[in-house]
Amino acid sequence: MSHSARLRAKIELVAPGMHRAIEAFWAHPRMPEIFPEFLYTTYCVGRTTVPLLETALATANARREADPVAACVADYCARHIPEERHHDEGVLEDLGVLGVSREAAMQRIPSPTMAALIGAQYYWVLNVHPVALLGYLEVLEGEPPLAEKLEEVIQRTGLPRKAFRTYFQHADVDRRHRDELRAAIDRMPLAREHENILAISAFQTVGLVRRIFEGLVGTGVQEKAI
Amino acid sequence: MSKDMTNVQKLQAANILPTPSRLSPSDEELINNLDPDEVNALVDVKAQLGDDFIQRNTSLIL
Repeated sequence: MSHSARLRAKIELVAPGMHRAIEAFWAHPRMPEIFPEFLYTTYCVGRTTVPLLETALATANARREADPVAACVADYCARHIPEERHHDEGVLEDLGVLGVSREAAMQRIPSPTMAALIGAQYYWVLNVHPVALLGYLEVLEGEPPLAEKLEEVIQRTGLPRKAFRTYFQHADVDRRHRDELRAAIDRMPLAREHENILAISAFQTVGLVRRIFEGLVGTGVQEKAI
Repeated sequence: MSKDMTNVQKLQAANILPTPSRLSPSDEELINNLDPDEVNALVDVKAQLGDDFIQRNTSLIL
């Protein structure tokens, strides 16, 4: 079994609970009310991707002479950073379609769960090994959205198609990102400890994404923040 | 937890896996081959490996 297949198999151990939370979100009867909150969550993740990749790149480059896995991580991050730039800008535009101003989204303080999701990656990258970030990315990019699913949601909810622009782009782009990520992982001379931190980072990501979606489903009974 | 316990038994003791687990042989092998750090992480993040895992709902949109 390849490195990436083994990582995916480990993720599948814990993914069903996250899948269930995500499905509950997409099937929510008050989707038009909670969809802006979902896009805000997407914005919160999207605006951190390039800074996270840059941190991993710098950390990996600093140890690349003595660490061939770090060298591979640095090469992957350097290739991937241009692909992720400005995705958060696209989500802000989608939020604008729904009447949420970019200022409101940018000034709002994210949840502690969101901070834990992103903050954990800084911890792993800076204190354990930058390869950890690829476990996080495998969870977020490993199962891209399906365009037909998005079409079904638009039909069912009446939400404007323009508010899904970034998600339709992800439906196209994330398949290639997923394949590139897995190819990069498979090229790495991973030792057992690298595989462990990849899996641990992924396990934590799955748990926190699940909590974020469970929170979104509960948004209807919470005070709207934007 | 006893060092003699398998990973499946450790996860059952931590209420991460139901008892009996009803795991397929390949899933049981995958879990029992996890390193202790990985098992500890599953317990720490309160991973859900219950019936959902066994039924393998794989539809996802994110």
